[in-house]
Amino acid sequence: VSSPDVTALLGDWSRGNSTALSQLLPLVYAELRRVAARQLRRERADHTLQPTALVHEAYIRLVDQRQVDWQNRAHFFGVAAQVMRRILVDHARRHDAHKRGHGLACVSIDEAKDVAAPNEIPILALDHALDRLDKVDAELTRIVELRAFGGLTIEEAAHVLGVSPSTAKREWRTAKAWLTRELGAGVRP
Amino acid sequence: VTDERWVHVKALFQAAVERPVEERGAFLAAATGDDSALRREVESLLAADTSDVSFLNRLPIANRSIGTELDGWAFHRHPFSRR
Repeated sequence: VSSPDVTALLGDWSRGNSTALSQLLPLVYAELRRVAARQLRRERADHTLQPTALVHEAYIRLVDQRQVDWQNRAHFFGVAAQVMRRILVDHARRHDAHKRGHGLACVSIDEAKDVAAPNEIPILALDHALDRLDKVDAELTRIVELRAFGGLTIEEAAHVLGVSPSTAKREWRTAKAWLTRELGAGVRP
Repeated sequence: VTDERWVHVKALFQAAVERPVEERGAFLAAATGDDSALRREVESLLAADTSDVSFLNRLPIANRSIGTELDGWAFHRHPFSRR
């Protein structure tokens, strides 16, 4: 994978070429895998991965930042967040067969360096709830993907969705309320 | 919840949640009239909002094993290959 490919595809996609997306997905997926593997070789054996950090590193490696405007940057993170969701769900599904209730450890969304939280995200339950939410309000699903799996701030997510930061903030709050209600006490840490 | 219904529920939730907790009841009563189902729907979202147990305030992190899997997967097995 060379970075001009991805940079050009992002441009094609933003100009309305929808087949560019189907070419982008495998490139982003492959790079996320590579970045994950590289990070784990570098770190101590007991270290964890932060998917959102992987998304950012993949961006830096794949995209020629001199040739990309913020819209294309936002598009990239939109794609990468979806890919990350699929990767994490796939992982959880694989391990669910062996260990019931398997989730992913999690960190505060505002202070991503704080890895103290022993809680787990019930990733499969969240994935199914997101599928249901998608049928009710697809925009809400998108902002959850961007925030939770892509690590985007409210402002960055607003760019991706083409809305104002205050709207994005309202949507995020609404999505959290909907999902919390949907998943109920079962997700209580 | 139909799409149209959801648009209404969402608008009411977003308007109510901006108000102080003690004013929400009166606001909802006025906004929903005798549609008690609508009111309950909005109230359930407000309750979820104030419960503050949302795991969505946290980001997922994966343990080491996910990297091992990712490293070993053949390219043709990626989940988007059929699109």
